[in-house]
Amino acid sequence: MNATTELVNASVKKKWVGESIVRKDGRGKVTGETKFFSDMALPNMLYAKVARSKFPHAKIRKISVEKAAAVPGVVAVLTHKDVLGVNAFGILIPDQPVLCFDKVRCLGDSVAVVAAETLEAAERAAAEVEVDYEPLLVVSDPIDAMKPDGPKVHEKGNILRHGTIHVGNVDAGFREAAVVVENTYRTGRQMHMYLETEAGIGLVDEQGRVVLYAGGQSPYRDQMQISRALGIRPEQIRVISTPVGGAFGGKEENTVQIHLAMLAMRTKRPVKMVWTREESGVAGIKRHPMIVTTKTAANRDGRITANQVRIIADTGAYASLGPTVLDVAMENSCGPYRIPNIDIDAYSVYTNNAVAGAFRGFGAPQVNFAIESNIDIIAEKLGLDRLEIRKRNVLREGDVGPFGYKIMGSVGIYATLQRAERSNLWMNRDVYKSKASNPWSKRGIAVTTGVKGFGFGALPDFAAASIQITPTGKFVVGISCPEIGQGGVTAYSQIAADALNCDISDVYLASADSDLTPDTGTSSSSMGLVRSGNAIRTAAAKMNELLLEAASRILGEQKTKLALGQSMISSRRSPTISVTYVDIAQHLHSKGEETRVVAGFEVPRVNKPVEGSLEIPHLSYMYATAIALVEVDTLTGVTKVLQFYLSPDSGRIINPQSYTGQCEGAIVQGLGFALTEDTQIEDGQIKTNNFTTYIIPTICDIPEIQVEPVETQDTFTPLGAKGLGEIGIVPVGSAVANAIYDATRARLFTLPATPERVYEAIKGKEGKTVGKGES
Amino acid sequence: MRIKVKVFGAPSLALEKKELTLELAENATIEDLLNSLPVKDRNYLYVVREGIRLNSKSKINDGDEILVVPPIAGG
Repeated sequence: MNATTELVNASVKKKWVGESIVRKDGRGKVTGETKFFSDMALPNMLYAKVARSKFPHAKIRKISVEKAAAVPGVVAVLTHKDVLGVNAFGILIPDQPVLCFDKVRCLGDSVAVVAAETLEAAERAAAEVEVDYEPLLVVSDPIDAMKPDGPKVHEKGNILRHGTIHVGNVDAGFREAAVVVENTYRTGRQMHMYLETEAGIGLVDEQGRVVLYAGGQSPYRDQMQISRALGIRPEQIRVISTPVGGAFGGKEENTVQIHLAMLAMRTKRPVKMVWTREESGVAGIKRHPMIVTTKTAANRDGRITANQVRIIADTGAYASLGPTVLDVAMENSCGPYRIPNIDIDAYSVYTNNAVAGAFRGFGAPQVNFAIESNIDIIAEKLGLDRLEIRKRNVLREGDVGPFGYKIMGSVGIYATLQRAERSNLWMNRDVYKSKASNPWSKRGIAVTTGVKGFGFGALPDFAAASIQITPTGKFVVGISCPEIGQGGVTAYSQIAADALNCDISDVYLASADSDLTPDTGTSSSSMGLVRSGNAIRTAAAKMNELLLEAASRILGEQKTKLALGQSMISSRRSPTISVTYVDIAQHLHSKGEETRVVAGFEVPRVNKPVEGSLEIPHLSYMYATAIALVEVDTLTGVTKVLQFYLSPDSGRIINPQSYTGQCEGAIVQGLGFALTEDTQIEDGQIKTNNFTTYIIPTICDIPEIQVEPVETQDTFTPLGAKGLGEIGIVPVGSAVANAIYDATRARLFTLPATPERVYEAIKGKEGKTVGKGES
Repeated sequence: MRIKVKVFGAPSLALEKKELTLELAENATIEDLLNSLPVKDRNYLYVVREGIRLNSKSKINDGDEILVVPPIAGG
């Protein structure tokens, strides 16, 4: 790891953006001092438990709660009859029942929810909820689900969304090509596996308002989903979403919030719910498994002439964010490449599997595996270097993107390839490959690229921030984007301190509380920094105006003749005529004048999305080049990643240490996607729902990681910074799979590259027994 | 007074145009604006001006450009 940057003493520095400021929330989290909602307890608190479906697909004939209600200590047992608003949730399409009434569509479905004096009583009562089920045929395979005569998960049919995009003429592109490669790739159902499972506490305060403390990625959107289900106005609900013990997209959707709000309303007591790890496995959101058939063509010098893609995404029993995940998969299925002819046909399909939704990368890692594998196959067929073929095809600054829109933001992908080309790992790849641990192990290396838009693309997006000056001249910055582990609290403070010309220790962040902070949108889509950062800068400009006007009154000097200094304002004519922020603050507070400003930022977007899409295009993208060095034990198929190199372009760097940490975290999560992580579901039954059966990388599996950023100044947003959280994971699966091929000449068409799959691929070569690849 | 309104998602489906120019009375509020639109679920809606969410009692100003957006999420 290369956390080589020097940490800065926060008390003496004058400019903060670009420095490795120690994370403000770091000490509490690493020492265990930070109390997450699952750690908390309130006086007179009840414990809640959900009674979940026993079948992946069944009609409900009758629900009886008498036995459950009779369990000693039980205070409330709620069913669908107790849902007073809309009995459904889902950010985009409310198709998931808060409490099921006519049928269940997956094992995670909730049938009743219980509150009791003890957790044991709540668990016992949940088990005593009697449901008369009529089991229905289960559909687990999305291809089966697409058949017209298959079991219907929803009455309207199993196709949640069908998207198509056509650019140019792919047939012409295939005709002019020297090589055409077509393969089908499959990816796994990755789980988020946050340190803290879905958890929270609900209560009703002395004013009769519902208060929710629950880890989530947007308190205001949670507030609206609760409001819809409870049938009360959003203002009657307060949501506090921080601290969050990890999210990665899995806490964008409602989890515990609505059930807790219902139970608090019914019992008028604090109620706590913490999903067990197994429950999180069954009911939590997953990454969409995808089947991606990609036909890619190139001419003799390796330039891509056409790309035809068919995507089938298994969204599970409910929509959640499936429609937009499919869009991002479509957008990224052509990589960061200039391709004149494109044909994309994509489906998001309901099944009786666990619900899939947002997960770091949002559809991009799946399709990246397909296009980057095809590029390597083409390079081999044409006798081209794998890095050179990518240099010939990648987008450049000022290019019109594959979908016909000029890319407004910086385009650093070529520079990341150049940096990777000069890296020690790539320059000495033959040396590294020659050092296998034993005669039956083989080493391989691969380079791949990745791309992903940040933000919601063509969809409307906005953010607001507030800033208040305290009586002691400090600033309280209010934003609702929660800190979900990305380092936002520190980065936002750095941006605020620079914009307000003050010490970073004079900035306090109030975050993720719907009563105290304006709506800054969500901590998602690698956009938290861009949303919050730009909203803070806009609010800071307004606060500076407020301070200058106050200083003008205090000093008797025209505002235009004043200058902002470090925590003070002075006259341009004579620096001795000055007033500190402390004095200004005391003046404002003593006079009862305005001390708080709110300002907003609307994210630039195109007026209309590309035909056939919801949010394509983004106007700016993150890019990365990755290199993986692997060693494969050919007797067991076990693959060890020895080194991983990443050169990202995420625009201006706000905090180098956090930047490196974000990339390292993304790479490690990508290694899980690449090598081990896949929720096993058979006929709707989940077989891997805890750390014993669902294997994530441990410290022993983490390779030497090097992160070498290319720092571009993005012109898309005023701050110059792009997103970062997701780009590091995008090219990991493809880099590992291509490195395995480089080591063994056995190509994988299915991820994760488990020892069984790798071993079978080596035995069968060309992945005959593990996929449907043909090239 | 005259304002511009951009409507997205489900509320826009019942409209011929997604961008409207509306004449409203002086001192009109967001509630007045929503009364003039085919909006079914007002509790599940963002109404935004210059990046800041407004509530039903917020005053509208002449020349405002206002977004009416259901909660969405992309990536």
